Amino acid sequence: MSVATADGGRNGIFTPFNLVTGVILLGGAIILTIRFTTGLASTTNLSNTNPWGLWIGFDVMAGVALAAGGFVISSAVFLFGMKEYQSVVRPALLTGFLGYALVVLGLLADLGRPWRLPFPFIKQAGPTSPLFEVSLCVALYLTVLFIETTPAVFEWLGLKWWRQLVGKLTIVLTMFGLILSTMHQSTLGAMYMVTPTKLHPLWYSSQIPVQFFISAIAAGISMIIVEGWVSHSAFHHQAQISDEEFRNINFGLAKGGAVVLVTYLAVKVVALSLENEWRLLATSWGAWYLVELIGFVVAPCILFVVAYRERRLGLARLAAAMTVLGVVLNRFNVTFIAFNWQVPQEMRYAPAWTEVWVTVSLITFAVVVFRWVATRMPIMYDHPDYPALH
Amino acid sequence: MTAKYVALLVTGLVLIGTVPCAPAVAAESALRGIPPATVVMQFPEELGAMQRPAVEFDHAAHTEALKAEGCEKCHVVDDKGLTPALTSTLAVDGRNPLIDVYHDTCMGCHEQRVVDGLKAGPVTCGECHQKRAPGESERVAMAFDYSLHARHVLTYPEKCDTCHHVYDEVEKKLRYEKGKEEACRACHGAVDVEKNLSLANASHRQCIACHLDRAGQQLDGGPVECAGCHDAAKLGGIKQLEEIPRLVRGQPDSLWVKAPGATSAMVAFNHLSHEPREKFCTTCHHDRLRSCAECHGLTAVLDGGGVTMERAHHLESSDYSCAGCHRRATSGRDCAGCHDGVSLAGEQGACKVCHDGPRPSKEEPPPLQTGSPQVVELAELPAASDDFPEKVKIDVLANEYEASEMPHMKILAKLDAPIRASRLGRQFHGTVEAMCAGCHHHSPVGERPPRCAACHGPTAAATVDRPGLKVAYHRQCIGCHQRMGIDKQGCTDCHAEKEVTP
Amino acid sequence: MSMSRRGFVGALAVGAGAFSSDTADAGTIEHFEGYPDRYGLLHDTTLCVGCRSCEVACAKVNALPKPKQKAGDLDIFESVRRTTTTAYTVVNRYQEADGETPPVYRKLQCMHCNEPCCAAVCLVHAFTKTPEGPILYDPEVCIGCRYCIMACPYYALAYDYDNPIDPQVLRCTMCYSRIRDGLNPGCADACPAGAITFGRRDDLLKVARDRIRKFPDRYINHVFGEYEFGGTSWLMLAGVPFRELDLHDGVTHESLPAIGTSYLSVVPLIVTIYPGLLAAFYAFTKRKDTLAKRELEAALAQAREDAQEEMKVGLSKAAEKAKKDKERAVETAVKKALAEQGEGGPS
Repeated sequence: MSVATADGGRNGIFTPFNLVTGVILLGGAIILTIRFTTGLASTTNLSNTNPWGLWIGFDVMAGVALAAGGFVISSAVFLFGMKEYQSVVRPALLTGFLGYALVVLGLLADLGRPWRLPFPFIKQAGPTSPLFEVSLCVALYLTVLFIETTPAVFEWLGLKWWRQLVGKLTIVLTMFGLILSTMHQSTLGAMYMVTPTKLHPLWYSSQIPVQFFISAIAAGISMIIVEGWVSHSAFHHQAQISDEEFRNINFGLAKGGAVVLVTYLAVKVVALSLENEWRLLATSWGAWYLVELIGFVVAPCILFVVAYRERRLGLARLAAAMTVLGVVLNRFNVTFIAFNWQVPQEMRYAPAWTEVWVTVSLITFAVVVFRWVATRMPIMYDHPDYPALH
Repeated sequence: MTAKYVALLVTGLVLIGTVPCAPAVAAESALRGIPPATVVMQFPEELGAMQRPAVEFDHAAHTEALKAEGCEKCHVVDDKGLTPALTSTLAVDGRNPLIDVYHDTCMGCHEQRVVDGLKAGPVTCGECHQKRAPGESERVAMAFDYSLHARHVLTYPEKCDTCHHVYDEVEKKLRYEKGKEEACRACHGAVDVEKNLSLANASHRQCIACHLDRAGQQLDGGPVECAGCHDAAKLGGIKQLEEIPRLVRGQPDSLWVKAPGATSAMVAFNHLSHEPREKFCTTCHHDRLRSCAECHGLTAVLDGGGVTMERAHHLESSDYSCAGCHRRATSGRDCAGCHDGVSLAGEQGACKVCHDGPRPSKEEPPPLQTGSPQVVELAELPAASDDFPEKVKIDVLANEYEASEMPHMKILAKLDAPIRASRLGRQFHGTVEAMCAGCHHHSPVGERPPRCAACHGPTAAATVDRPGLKVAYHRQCIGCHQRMGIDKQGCTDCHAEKEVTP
Repeated sequence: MSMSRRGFVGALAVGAGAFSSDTADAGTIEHFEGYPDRYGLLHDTTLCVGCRSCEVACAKVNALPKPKQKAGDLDIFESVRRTTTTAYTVVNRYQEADGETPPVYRKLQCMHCNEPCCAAVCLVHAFTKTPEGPILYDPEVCIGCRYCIMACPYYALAYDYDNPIDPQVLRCTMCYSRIRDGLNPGCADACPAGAITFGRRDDLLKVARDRIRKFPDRYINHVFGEYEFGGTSWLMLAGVPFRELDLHDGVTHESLPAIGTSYLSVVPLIVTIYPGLLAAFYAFTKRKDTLAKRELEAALAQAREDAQEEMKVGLSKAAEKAKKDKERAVETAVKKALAEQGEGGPS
């Protein structure tokens, strides 16, 4: 398969894509250098009242949710036998792996002492902490995802024996991945159960872990649609499936997305009833909550249904984008918008431009790597020497 | 086509964003004030709930408008004079008949005035039954104090029967009985009970009829309008007599406080000196004008509300008890420095101040002279000596600050002056050295007191809630200054800052 | 509590929840009252005059820079402050003086909760609740995740954001070393108004209740910190509702670790149930596939059999027809021969 237009094009290495991403990445590297040499205060708006900001809110919280497509689709294909989605498994797993790598990179930027990242496992454990469980599961799951992306690498490198070995591990890895994902996706939400006085009651609930898990599934499904949208045009020359098949996959995902979003809506409504918070909906925070719920959960759900029934790919993609934004918004709300909601305005948090730049550069890095891998390795297509996975 | 969905979405989001906010924050404004002359016409509960908002009837406007016709236009006038009853609703009972009567009377009159070309009130439903924000009446209770009573007495000297009466159960009519004059509220309660009018109706009938009468005779009389008695500003403007003559009702000048069956020493009570302290007899005689012992005996009885004699006289939180009033006196600025500080209650000898009489026996105690019990006179403040130093140097804790030079005699003189000037103060202190206990607490008075450090260690004794020495000094001194409104409350007001040697 | 690699692998097998055996976790009926004889501090806000001697003393004891504003400088109360990396305690004014009513102040610092959520949420167990009462922090293991700062309901913790090499979580330590030496915490010794009393927590509760009983008009009838979120070592008395002092009034008596980490009891369930469940799903899927394959094969076999049968029937029919044809042909030929012979005759 052909590699990127590095050789043939007139621009050589200075393609528009490379230039833009290069600038972003260079800026990110500079900011991170400043961060590591002078401390977090110079490049973030973090404070004693707001210890967690955009890097936790997006890189960790939203990043983990958006990378959930890996376990969703691999479980669907390998455990529940939905073989029609076979062709999106590898892109989803690659997205997942890069997403989790982004999480770890974001953590390394945010931790006060990132060189001590392995301490919970090698020095002293604090097993009462939800964060301990999250870090353990994320570390293991990153390993699982890494192994699950190696088949494409081995195929590319022609290492048949290794490829067959990891192929045999598929079912076990998928199961392990689903177990780990269930645990850490929900525990990321459970991390906020210890702050009932700081998180606004509309977002705080004993059901937060369930809400986080289900919204992660919705985010995963939607990210597959979004990623497919971008990849399908960028890597169209690699695609082996027909347009019809591609569309069917998207509509199937849309159907799944609608079901998950409706479930999520039900869980949210149940949480409101459990804590009898209806009157809070009439406040300004309630209005904001309804924007998140109706604009970014109910609306995309309806659009998914319409897209599936009318077979309109554009609507499905719009709904997927809205779902992704909705999950990101939800994570932002929980992390720093509806968190510390009672703190006086002058002590509230807003991200610094340096934090936004670093986050964007991490995403850019993931996109660049994805592109590099997908142009060389059998991600968007099946390698002719190897039978399709299972 | 996708654009249609996007447009719908945006509209939906905008709607969602604005609609919940609209009723969201209902501004919590202060309650609307209803003027004193406005009567809120509310049905009594037994007639059921009102279907429309209550009518706020402006009585003052009506008296002004119907000045020519006079009160008889609406009110019943009987042989005694004007009554609060309305001619229209007399003998009308039941919900619907009442509603009809009010509508016919009010709207009928207004419509007639329109025909006559006069300024008229509303005739439509909504103009009377207006929906308004919740309101609070500005009407204040009439305060018929000693001064006002005396002015009435001066107008009708020796003619107590002008206003005072008792109800004869046997003959079923009102008559006057000398020596049994009470406050009106002794018999007249909040609502009419058959023929026993409520306090409001009884007062209006009694007072306003008379005032109207005198006005008719061109004599100087009291107010006839609502605002005259029930407007806070107007009430404050009522002329107070300079010298209020004593309200004589056969009460003793001095008496023994005793109870049958009691064993402790009797208390000599100077009723005469206590009378001018308050504005109403009912401040102490909160039920009827009789002796406390009639209801508050040694054991709790229903008549006394379950309050025993001991509680009736000693409960410091009560508005009517002796101890309560005395306690409130010690919260005044001149006294609070010591009395609101470390608790002095229960100090030995406090009972003796009052319980100074003979023990109850079979014989009657000797009658008390007017002016007894005599209030003690305090000895003069002693001169400065080793036992009563002029200044006291407190240097035991000097660390960041220099030692403090306390002007001991100056403080004593300042505390002594108001005690000496107050009968209550002199009586309860008894001796000039009693005030030492204000600072030198929990130790015998009059003798050289123990050092503060003897009881107050360097740090607090948490188990007995006793502060350490530094805190004891600060709390004692600064606390007293705060309670007495003395400005010396800053660090350097008492001790200079030490110069820090570099 | 450090772990070897072997221990880590073992822990992975058992599940995270099994390690919380020391603390009272959801599910047991026992109730840990707290270490007996532990110390506490009583802060009587009705006595606090806002002189901030406690801030000065705290800075001195902890070798921090002395507060810049002196005692008489009331401007500092214009805004509500919080603790920082160089000020482990601050005093705020929550109500200004109003005629006769004096202003209301409160001192903020780490509350040294009975069941601290900072200790529960730390993933490296950097916090320890000592039997004496104070909570200690171990900077040697801290990785700087700042979950403790995020969790603390009293906003008591501060972080060294300016330090890239050795950032620490900084807060009041209840003068642990001084307490161990038999001294009082610096703030308790410094307060000239006696608004801070140090002693055994049980004694201080009695003192607090006694004060309320003696002066019912002076105090709100509640000792804050007795039970809130499991109780704290710092107890508060106030003459105004605690809500007005920025304290969360009326919250549950259940501790934040119990509320916030109870979810972790689900983890062992997921680890133990999911494998079987997912294996079952996988087996169902495989079974469906196998059954479908078998059905297909059976259908194919049947079709083949049917085809064979048809062929046989067709063949036998064709054979019959051929036989009949042959017989007819023979008959016709015989007839023809006979007819020819008849015509030729003996002549």
